[in-house]
Amino acid sequence: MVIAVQPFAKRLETMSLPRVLLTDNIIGRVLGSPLDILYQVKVMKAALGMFNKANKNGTVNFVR
Amino acid sequence: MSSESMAKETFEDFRKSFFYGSRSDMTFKFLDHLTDREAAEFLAAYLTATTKAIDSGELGGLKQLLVQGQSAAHAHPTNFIYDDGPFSAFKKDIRDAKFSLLASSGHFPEKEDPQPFGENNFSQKDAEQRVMDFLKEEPVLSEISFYQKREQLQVRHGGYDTAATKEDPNITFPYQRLLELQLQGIIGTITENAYSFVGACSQKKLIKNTLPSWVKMMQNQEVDGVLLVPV
Repeated sequence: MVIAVQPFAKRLETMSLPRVLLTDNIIGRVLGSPLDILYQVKVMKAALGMFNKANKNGTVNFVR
Repeated sequence: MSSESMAKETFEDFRKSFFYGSRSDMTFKFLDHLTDREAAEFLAAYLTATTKAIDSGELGGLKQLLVQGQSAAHAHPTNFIYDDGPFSAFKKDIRDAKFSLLASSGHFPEKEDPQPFGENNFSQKDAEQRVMDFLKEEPVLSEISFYQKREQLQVRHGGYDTAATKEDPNITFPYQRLLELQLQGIIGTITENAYSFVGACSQKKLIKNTLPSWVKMMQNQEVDGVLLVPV
């Protein structure tokens, strides 16, 4: 399960990864701004949720 | 930069100077990967958005432009193209499963500095200046307790702007968030340690030499799922 920023979307797509969660952030801030704990939890729950929900390779979700 | 070289500086020189040059900036180094026209259009849009941000107090437009610029710079193909992937269905409920965390963020406990190239007191600036040397090296894995105090965690990585993750490591290495979710019962268990390494490393050595031992390490701990955070 990969959590990455939107700018890496194209590169990750060609790697044919099983599960990818993209965040709407710049490089170096995968889980947003420092100390935004609510957002960090939102991202983590979205990522963990993909373990059970994804049913095929190349599943890509997006979280804002 | 001398006044003579400033006078001769072209726009191409200018945009390339952000990529480990005289204006080295890890957030804007992507300008090196754009054409002159693309970079000019990005900068013009960014300046316009700056004025709007000042007027409105909203920074979302600036962030979106930066995401778009970085996305354009990273849209070109790489050597890592695969037609098939290693998908396997996750058969356990996450409340019963064991997880770990592996990030390419460059974090390490302050008392366990991996000392790149055998050097003490290696700084972030050193890492940026020697990023090409890092790209020839096999990565070193740092094991970090999920209970490691945030203020006792260090970060050093020559490939991205570490300022924000110095303030809060969880934005690239979300170890405290994963621990909290485990303590809340949202996931079953976690490994004793989380893991971080400097992603700016030899990708060939990483794949051929390093990764098999890391996979084995996870298997030995009977991990069901790993959260991978490329930075």
